[in-house]
Amino acid sequence: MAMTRRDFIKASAAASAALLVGINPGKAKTAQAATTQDVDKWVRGVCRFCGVGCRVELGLKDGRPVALRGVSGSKTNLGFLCMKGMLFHRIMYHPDRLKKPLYRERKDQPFKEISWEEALDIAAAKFAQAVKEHGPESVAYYGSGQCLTEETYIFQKVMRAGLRSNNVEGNPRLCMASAVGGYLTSFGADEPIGAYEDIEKAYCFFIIGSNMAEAHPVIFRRLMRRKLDKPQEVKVINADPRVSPTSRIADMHLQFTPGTDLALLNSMAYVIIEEKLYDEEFIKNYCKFKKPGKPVTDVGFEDYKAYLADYTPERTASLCGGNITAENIRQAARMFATSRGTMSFWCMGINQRIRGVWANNLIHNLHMLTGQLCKPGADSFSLTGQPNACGGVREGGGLCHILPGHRPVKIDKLRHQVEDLWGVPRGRIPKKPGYHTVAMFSAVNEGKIKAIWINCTSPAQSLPNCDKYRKGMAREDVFMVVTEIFPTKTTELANLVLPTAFHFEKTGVYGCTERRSQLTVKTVDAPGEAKPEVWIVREWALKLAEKLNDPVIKKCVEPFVGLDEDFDLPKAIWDEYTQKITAGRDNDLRGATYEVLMQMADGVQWPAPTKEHALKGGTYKKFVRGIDPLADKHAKDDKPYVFYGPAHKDAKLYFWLRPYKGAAEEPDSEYPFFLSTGRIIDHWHTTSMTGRIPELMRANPYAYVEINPKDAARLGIKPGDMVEVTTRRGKCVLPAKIYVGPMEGMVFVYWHDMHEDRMINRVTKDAFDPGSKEPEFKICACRISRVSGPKQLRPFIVQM
Amino acid sequence: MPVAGFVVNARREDLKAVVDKLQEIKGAEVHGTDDKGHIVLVLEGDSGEEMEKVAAGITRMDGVISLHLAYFHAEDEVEKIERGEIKPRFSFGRQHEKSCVL
Repeated sequence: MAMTRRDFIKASAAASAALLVGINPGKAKTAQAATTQDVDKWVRGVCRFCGVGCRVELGLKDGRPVALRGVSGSKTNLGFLCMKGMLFHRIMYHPDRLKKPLYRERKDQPFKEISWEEALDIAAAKFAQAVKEHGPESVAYYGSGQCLTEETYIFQKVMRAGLRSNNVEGNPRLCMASAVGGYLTSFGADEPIGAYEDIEKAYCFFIIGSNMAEAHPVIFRRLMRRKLDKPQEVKVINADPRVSPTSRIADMHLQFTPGTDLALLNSMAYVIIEEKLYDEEFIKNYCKFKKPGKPVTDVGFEDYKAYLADYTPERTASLCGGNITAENIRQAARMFATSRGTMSFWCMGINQRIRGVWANNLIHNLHMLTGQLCKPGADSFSLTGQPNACGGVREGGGLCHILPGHRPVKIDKLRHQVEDLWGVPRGRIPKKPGYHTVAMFSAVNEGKIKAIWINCTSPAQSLPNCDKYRKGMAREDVFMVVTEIFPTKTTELANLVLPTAFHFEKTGVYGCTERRSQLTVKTVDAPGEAKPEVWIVREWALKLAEKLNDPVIKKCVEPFVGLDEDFDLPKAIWDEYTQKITAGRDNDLRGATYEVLMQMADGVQWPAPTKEHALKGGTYKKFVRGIDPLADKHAKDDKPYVFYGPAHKDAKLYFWLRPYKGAAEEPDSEYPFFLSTGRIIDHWHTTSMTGRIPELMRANPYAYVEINPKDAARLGIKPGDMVEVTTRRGKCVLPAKIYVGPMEGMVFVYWHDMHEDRMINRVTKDAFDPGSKEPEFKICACRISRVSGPKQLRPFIVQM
Repeated sequence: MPVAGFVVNARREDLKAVVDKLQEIKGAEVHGTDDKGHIVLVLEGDSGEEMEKVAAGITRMDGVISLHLAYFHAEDEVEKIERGEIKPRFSFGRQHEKSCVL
C-alpha cells in the first residue's frame, strides 16, 4: 500500500524516537525513505528554553520552520528533548509577536507605531538627556540569561565604556548569583568543574533544592537512566522541603523545614569527619580552611571539626524537622562520602536564600572533604535556569560587578586591561560596581534612575515583592525601553517597546550550564520589522555618540559599523570578545571561533585556548591535567589537579566555616506558614487533560497553592477551594491543591501566573543575600484562609 | 494535525500495562518497546496544545517515569496560524490560563 505524506511523517517520528533508544522501529521500517520527505532540510541549533543546552534541529519546508527533532548522540541531551520542543512554531508564528517599534511619551497614553529611525533617536535622546542632567549613574541596563552572548557583551560595553555606567544587571542575579559567589569563594573560579557526562560515571546523586524532573527534564532523564540501569549500585538522595517528581527516583528523601538546609549540610560534614570518611590526601594537597570575618583567618582541619561540633545529627535532625532522623543524616553522609563518584545538583532552592552563597559553600565543603571532585563521576554541579546565564551574563560581563572574562570591575588591573583592549581611555569604566538588581529597581523607585533599558525579561513580574517595584517602573519621570518579542507585564510600563528577532531569526552563541558554547545561525526571517539586538545596540550607540558628542561611545561600536546584522555583525562581536577579552582568562574561548563552532555540532567547552583543542570539543573537566590545557600550563608540581582559578592566587580550594542561618522571615503566630515558590518553565505540564483521556484530567492551567492534607483538614480547605495567601506584603487568591508535596506548615505556589490575583511574586519577600545580592524568593511567612468554594477563573492575556 | 515521536520510560514491571493504556489514547501508536522499559510512541493530535495536554497526561500515568520528545512536526498548524485560523495559546510565563471550571 502506498504511503501518504502523513504516513511518512509518522514513520519519521517513530524512527527518530526509536533511534535514540536503539529500538528497531518496526512499523516505521520505511522511515529511511521518509526522513527525506518530511521537511526540505534540517538546520542545527541549540534549544533556548532552559539552561541545559539541548542540541536540536529545526526542519524547514518552503523556507518555514515546521518541525523540530533531537539528534541521536548529541553531547548534552543525547537526542532527547522535553515538551517545550512542541512550542517553537507557536511562538515564532504567533500573531501577538511584536512587529513594529511602539512609543508613547507618557505611560498613561496608548502606544503608537513609529519607525526604527524615530525609535532609536528617542532612545538615544532620553539616555543622553539622563546622562547630561543626572550623570552616568542615572542610566541602567537590565538584561537576561536568554540574550545571546554577543548581545549581552555589546550592551554592557556601550553602557560601561560608552555611558560610563556599571548599572549593568540581568535576571541571573535572581537565580544564580549565589552559585557564582559559591564557586568563586570555594574554588576560586566560577562555573562547574565537571560536565553532564559525569552523570553516566556517577554512583551517588545528591539533589538539594532542585526539582530537576520538571525544571531540567532532559538532564533528569540522564540521571534517571543511570539509576535505572544500576539500581543497586547507584544511590539518589533528594533533599527538599517538598516532595516533587524528582523524588520519584530517590532512594532517600530528606524533607527538611525550609531554611534549615545549612544545618543539614554541616551535619553531613560532621558525620563524614566523625566516621573518618574524609579524603585526607585530597584535603592536604588542595585545600585550606577559612574562617569568615574581617579579616578572614586561616584555620586548620581541627578548627573545622570543632566548628562542626554544634551539628550533631541528633541536634540537626530536631532542627530540620520534617521526616529527618539522625540516622537519615548519617546514611546520606555515608552514601555521599563512600560512593565511587558523587555528583551534587542544586538550583534555586539553594541559590535563592538569604545565605545562598553559604549554602553553596557548604555543598562544596562536602565535595572537598570527600575528594568528590575532578575524578570521573564526581562534581559539585549547579544547575542553571536559562540558556545563556552562564555564557552571556556570567562570562560576558552581564552583572554590575563583573566585566567580561570573569573580571571583577573593582580590580584596577583587570579593569584597565579591558579598557586597553577596547581602546578606550583608562578610567573610562567606573571602578565602583553599579546597582545590583534589587538596588537597581529600588533606585528606579526613588527616581534616581531616569532611563532604563530592559532586554528580554519581565522584572514587573519576576522581581520578588514586585508591586513595590512596579510603582517605580510606572513613574512618568523614568523612561523605560523594553526589547521583547511579546507584550509582557513589563512592556505595559514602558515608553518604548522595540520588537526583536527570536531564536533562529538571528545568529549568536549560547553558553549552557556545563561551560559549553553552541552557535545557532539565522535560518528564518523575523516577523515584521523585528530586529536582532546587536543591530539595535550598534545603531543606538552611534546616535548616543552624536547626541553626547562623545567619540568614545562611537569607538565602542566602531569595529562593527556597516556589518551585516544577520551574521557578520554577531561574528565580529564574538571575535572581539573571544580573541581579545577571554584570552588568557579561565574561560579562554579563543579556539571557539564561529568557524570552529559551525563545525562542532555540540559546540565547545571552555577552556578552549586553541582551535586544536576546541576541535576536540574543548575541556570536559576543568583543573585536571591531561584534560584541561590550562591545568597543564599552570602546573607547578606533579599533582594531578591544578586549581588555577583567578580568585584564589594560592591555587587552593577553600573550606568555609559557615554557620546555620534560617530564613529572613520565619513563620510566627500571625503568619504561621512557610510560603515557598517554584519556577516551572514548562508550566503547561499542569494544564488540564482533555476529554479524550478523562481519567487524566487532574491539574489546572494556572497557579494554585499546594497545601499539605493535614493542614488543609485542620483549616477546612477542600481541593479547588479558593484560598487567600497573605504575607506582610499583600495577598493572592488561588485555588487549592491538596497534596502531600509540601510538608506540614508549608505551602507552595508556582510563580508563572500573570493574573494579578495569582501573581505570587507580589507577596514574596525581597530580602537578599548580602553576598550575592540574590533575593530569597523561596521562603517567607504567610497565613492562609479559605475564601470560597471552587470558582471559574477568567482568561488572562497581556495585550497591547 | 501535528505528529510527534516520543520515548516513554516506563517502570519495567509496568511496561505492558503502560503500553495497553497508551494504546487507548486516540491518535497514539506504539512502535516498539525494550526490556529497559522504553516505549517508542507516536502521537497525532488536533493541535500542538492538545498534544501537550495528552503528553502531560501520559507523564502522570501510573508506571510512567518520564516522557521525552524526539521529533515534532506541525506544518498543518503552522499554515493555520499563518492564515489566522488559529491563535495559539502557550503557557510560557506570558499567558497560560483559560476559563476552566474546577
